[in-house]
Amino acid sequence: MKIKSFIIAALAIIFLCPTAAHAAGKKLYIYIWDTYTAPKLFKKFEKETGIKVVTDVYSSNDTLMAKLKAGGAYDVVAPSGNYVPFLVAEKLLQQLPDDLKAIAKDMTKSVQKPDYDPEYTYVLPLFYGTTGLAVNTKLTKETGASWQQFFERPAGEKPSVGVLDDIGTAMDIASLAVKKPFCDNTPETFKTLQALLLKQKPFVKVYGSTGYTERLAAGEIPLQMAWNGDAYKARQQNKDLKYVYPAEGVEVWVDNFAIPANAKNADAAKAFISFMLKPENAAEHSIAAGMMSSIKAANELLPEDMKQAPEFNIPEGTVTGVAQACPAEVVDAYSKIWSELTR
Amino acid sequence: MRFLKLSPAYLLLLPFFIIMGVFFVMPLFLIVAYSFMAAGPYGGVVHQFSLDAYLQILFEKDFDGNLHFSPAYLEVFLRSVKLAGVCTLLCVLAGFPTAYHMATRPPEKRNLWIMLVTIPFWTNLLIRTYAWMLVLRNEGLVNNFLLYFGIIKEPLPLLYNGFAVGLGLLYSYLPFMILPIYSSLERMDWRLTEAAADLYAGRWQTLFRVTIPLAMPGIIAGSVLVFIPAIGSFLASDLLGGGKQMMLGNLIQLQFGFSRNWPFGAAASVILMAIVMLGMMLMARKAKDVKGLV
Repeated sequence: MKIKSFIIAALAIIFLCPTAAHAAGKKLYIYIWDTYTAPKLFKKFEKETGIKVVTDVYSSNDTLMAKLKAGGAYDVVAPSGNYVPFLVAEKLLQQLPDDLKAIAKDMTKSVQKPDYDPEYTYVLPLFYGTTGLAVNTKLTKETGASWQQFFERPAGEKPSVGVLDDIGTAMDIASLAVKKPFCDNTPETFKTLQALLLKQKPFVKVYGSTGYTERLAAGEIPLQMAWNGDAYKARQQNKDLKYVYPAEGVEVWVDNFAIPANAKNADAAKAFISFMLKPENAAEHSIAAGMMSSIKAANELLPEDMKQAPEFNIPEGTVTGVAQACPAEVVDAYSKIWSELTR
Repeated sequence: MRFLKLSPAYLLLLPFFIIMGVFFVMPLFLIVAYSFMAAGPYGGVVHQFSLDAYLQILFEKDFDGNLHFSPAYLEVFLRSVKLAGVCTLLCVLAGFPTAYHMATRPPEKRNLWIMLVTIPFWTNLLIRTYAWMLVLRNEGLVNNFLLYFGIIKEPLPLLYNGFAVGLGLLYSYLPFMILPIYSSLERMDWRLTEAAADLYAGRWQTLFRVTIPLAMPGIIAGSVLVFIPAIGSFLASDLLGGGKQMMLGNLIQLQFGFSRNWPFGAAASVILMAIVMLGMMLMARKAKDVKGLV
């Protein structure tokens, strides 16, 4: 008897559970970059709207895309601009309503009418930033004046440079160093990039984008390819660090809010996005994430030290290349170069 | 109630079939199926038969479009097998004495030892691997200690090399070796070692001709439990090795991530499974021999 009732209970759990989960109250599932969470701000949203925010995080666009393709059910996501065309082509995003699009007029010039979605049909810029060079002035005399110097190290030097293992980013920076356009689809460029990276390898201390902020802060790396927000965070703990814009230029990227096509709670998602992009909230988010907000008015609300920080002020006349979505053949070639590099 | 009375007894096996079907057979079938398809332009697969994924492992098109044999991926496979093998060997060397020590404690103290061995599982592996970074880095515990006492003048390069990867793997999987060996030693009849001593066997002879053969089932089980996860691991090489050498796990992750070549990733997974299966079969044969001995 006991066993039988146990079986019935077990079967009941197996078959009834999914429906029970469906029926649960109003929840908003957001899936964003691990550095973009802002628990205090999310609490404020919960208090204002009564919608509960459930946060899940990723640390690469590829993870985001794989999850969405596999049918992951989220209401808000934050893809980088260069991935937006892929997500749109795969029909993974839904169109934004006009009242959200209207927010775009309050945005700073660098993110207006982005080439990956000029009409804001699917995405709204959230943060933007640069990939530059973080220099530890105590560990090296170099000024980080050029990417070429970053890749072509003096013979006999101990492994001392840090390279981000986000392949798209690393390849963009390598392209800057050899003065080629991003995603250049010619065999000669591929060979040049491969040679450049292979030559640098003996002098590389770490290929990685996980935990490099801590490595910078701990003073372990003299020269590190870095995203501006992380460089800023590391500098708060280690005053020897300096964020520089090498002569060949920096990569600029934009992360955006979007609503997946299969969002269960699109209305809550819209409310969340417009809440997060209100200047005072955007400023708070900006501080929490250490990022440059897309909202012009938000940047004026930042504390003085952030406003003055070199990480958040691209110097006049800096060459900037906007990260793009490379075509499939280029992605293939880049994968090959990276496999060869780490074989 | 009538429904259950009428039903055959193997209805009781239903949960087993559901769990195995949903969590084991179906994903496995999907992986094998994906490995024989063509890659979709933005990830995923196109539903048409293709052997490209398997060809890619051995041959590559260079940037000019010529196809030629390339050992790059083969090297990744070999390196992973080698590293997992070394890790298994180290785990046996470190795990056997530990298990021996545990099994020879008084029974009431053994549970405490088991608890101590399982404590690392209370924390996530990623966090424990991070902790090793803090211990090994230039400004880390070990180097600061040695520098403070003047034993070394410059920090030792302990992190971002093969040593760190080996240490990380040994640390992660050691409990999987200790516990099976312990359980076979604990059940062992220790009077046999006394008998060996009565027959003029020295301590080493007793160890190698009595204790170790009797612990062999535990050693084999432990080796399987260590080798299989070690061959697919990529955390240690990523975080402790500095991402300079690709492991099978990294290769698969790269294919499902940046490269968006799911069939290739699936094919690599299928080959990984084949390697593991081969290892298991060898171990099973070994285990049979051992049974014959006892």
